[in-house]
Amino acid sequence: MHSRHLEVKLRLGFKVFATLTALKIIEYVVGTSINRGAWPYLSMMAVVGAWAILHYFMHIPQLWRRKE
Amino acid sequence: MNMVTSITTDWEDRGAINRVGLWLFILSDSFLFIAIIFTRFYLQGVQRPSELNQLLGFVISVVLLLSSLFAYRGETAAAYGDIRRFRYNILATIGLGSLFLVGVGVEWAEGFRFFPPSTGFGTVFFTLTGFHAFHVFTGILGLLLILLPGQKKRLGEGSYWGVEAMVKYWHFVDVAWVFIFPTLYLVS
Amino acid sequence: MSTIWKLGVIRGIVFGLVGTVAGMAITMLLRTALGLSAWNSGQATALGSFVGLIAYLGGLGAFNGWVGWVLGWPEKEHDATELPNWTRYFGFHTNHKTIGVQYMVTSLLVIIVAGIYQLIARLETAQPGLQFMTPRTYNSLISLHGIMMLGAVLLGISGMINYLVPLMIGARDMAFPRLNALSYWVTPPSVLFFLFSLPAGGFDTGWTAYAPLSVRAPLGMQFMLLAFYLVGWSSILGSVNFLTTIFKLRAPGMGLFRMPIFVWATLATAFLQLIFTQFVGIAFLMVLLERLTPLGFFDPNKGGNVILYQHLFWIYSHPAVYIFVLPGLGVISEVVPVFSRKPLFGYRAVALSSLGIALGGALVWGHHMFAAGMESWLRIPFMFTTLLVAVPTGVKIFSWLATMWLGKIHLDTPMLFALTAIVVFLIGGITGVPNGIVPVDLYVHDTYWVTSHFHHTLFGGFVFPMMAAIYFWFPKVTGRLLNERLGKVHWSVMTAGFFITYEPMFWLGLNGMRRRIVDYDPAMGLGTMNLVTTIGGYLIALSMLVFFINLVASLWRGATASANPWRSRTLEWQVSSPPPGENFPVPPRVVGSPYGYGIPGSVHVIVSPTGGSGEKQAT
Repeated sequence: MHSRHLEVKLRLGFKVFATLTALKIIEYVVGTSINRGAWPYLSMMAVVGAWAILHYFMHIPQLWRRKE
Repeated sequence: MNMVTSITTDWEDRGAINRVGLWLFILSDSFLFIAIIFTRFYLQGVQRPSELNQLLGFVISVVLLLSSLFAYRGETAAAYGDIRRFRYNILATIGLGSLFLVGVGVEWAEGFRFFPPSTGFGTVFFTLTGFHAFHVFTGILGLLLILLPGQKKRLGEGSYWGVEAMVKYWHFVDVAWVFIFPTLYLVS
Repeated sequence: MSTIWKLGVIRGIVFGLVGTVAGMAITMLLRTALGLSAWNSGQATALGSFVGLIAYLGGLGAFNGWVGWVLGWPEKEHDATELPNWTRYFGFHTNHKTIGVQYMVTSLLVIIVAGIYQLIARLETAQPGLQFMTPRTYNSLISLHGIMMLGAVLLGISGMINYLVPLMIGARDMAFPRLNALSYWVTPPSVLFFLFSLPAGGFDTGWTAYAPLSVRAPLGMQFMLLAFYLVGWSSILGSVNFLTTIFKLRAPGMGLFRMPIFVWATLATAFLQLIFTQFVGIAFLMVLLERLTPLGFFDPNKGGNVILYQHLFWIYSHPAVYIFVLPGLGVISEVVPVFSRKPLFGYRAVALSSLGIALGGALVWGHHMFAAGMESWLRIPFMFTTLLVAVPTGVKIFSWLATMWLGKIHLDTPMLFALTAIVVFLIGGITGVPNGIVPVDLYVHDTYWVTSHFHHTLFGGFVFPMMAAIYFWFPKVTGRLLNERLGKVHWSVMTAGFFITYEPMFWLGLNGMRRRIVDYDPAMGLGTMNLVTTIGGYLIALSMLVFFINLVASLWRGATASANPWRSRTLEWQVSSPPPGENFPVPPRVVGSPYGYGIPGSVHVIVSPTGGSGEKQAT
């Protein structure tokens, strides 16, 4: 029971990581191919990536949720 | 005012108190990076020298993301009392973090040749990567500390605050890089 | 001998000296290895101070708790030392009341030194012509006066907050007692660095340390930068502690809108400190880096920009003014209802106005740079935000007036100081409005008008409220009352001295007296008023002398204070004077507003369920 929970959470970690890497690749492609005016897309992707880390890896909702 | 009643009831909940303190510290520290990112745009606009190795920047970004994944796995394992898995994952995090630092070192070596610290871009580049690398370095030190036997005993007792704190800090360093990477390498 | 060695501060000094020498030696070795000349005073002192600081903290015992925690040693409940009571002020002691007193005493000592610097400088400007001072010495003195006073204010508010907030919200201690002690103990080295600055050549930049000057200033500059950087970290770590304490350690029933206004002010101040201190930290660090390394943040030849320094500096230093005054305004809100025997008028509005001031104050920094060559399109937006800050400040002023209206006013010393503070702060606020308007500012910028305005806000927002706070809470801290007669002498001399010093400065400023100049043309006819200002300054010094005599004499043989000599309702007065080590063995239960003076049946807090000592009815 306990260990199955653990496996679920570890798989979630992989999913988040995969998403973040995909974002990074898009960012890289955008950054290297578009020479002008790319910053809105880049900053949007950075915000999404940062949110994913804050939410899934750093568990920011712990701050306002009572108990796990 | 729901928040009020809920907060006042956990009067002695040490973990929750520590967590608030850590988040406040992270909030404060993030403004250090905000200030330097502001400096980058203020001094240099979106200029970027063509010698900058974007591919290397991309690779070390992925390395740091991967280290964050292992840090997450380590913390989760610690939360479930799986000490063996916790140790492997944290060791992997430390390894990848060190690899990141090596990558930054390589870039610094290139940077000294093409855009030395006494030029405009060099100033912001070395400052921003330097402060970030310092955070990575302290993060590695912290992760080493939680591998010491003292923490193992605490994990056995079911308390993993030290692990949680260091891993959160590590993720924060990653978040900072998520913004620094496009700021330095991609905008133009 | 062994007693002395057990004092943390002695161990710290010894370790610190060794560390400093070691740090300098490392620098010299590194430079030799790189093939450079061994001695570089800037780099050697910077690294020496850093290593010395770490060694000093280690010797002090600041890291013992954390090291023990990491290594998994069993936790010690309390240091069961057999040392006498006074020694805890000279070691790494984690009780918030001890730390509060340490902060306060340090702050007063720094105020003395910084005040003396200005008294010396004022002698020079009392008359036109160069009497006994070189321009560089004069500039060093006024610069040090400014920056050390700001350091002292940060220490002073930390002292008040440390002592009062846990008591006011019914907590046993701060959320992180060890961190709290660490935040205090980095300040003595910082004071030391401030003192080193003058012998090391001083610095002639003014307290703002604007970039092209500060990059070229003598070694004294570097000590000032390091010193304020340390104070900055102390205040960041302190604010983490204050905020966590307020969020997490309130007694049962102490909802946000049952907190005393001082706690609200602390909340706003701590948020400002937490966020904005990083900016001044990085600005000072950049100056330091530009001095010591090839990096060029502010040098146009290296791609830098001097205006960058001013932006980073004022992003902190304007909110810093609110950091300084908000706790003071909170003190006034505590004192006025007690001595008017009436509820605080508009509690919610006053509570939220602190946050409003903090938010507004964060967006106005550009008004310091109207005349500095800042991007001109930024002027109008900053003018509007600047004038907007007057609104929440006005809320507070009207609240105090309405609280006193038809009240039963008792003119004890704390109330007298609070009243002066209100008047002075009001003048400071009103003279700030023309400063905020661009065309007027271009005219009065860098004159004594601005200096006087600033001193009005800081005297009204910090110095007079701090005096009110000391007279008000001294009985709580020491268990003895301050002498009222000496207190009133202190109050009257200080108030008179203040007005004699600073009102002529408005006139001087409007008539062309520039700030930060050692000499001025006798033909301008400014000599008389400058003399008056100097005399006023010495009157303030005289009143401080009376104050210190009062402190020492009352501490020595003052009348014993009861638990609640002022018949106040807030929590800190419901325990003995001085409070017991753990404040409240049982968490107190908060049931009502802290300011229900004169309202029949109103109760703020029930302290002990067994004793049942509820609220004294205040009529």
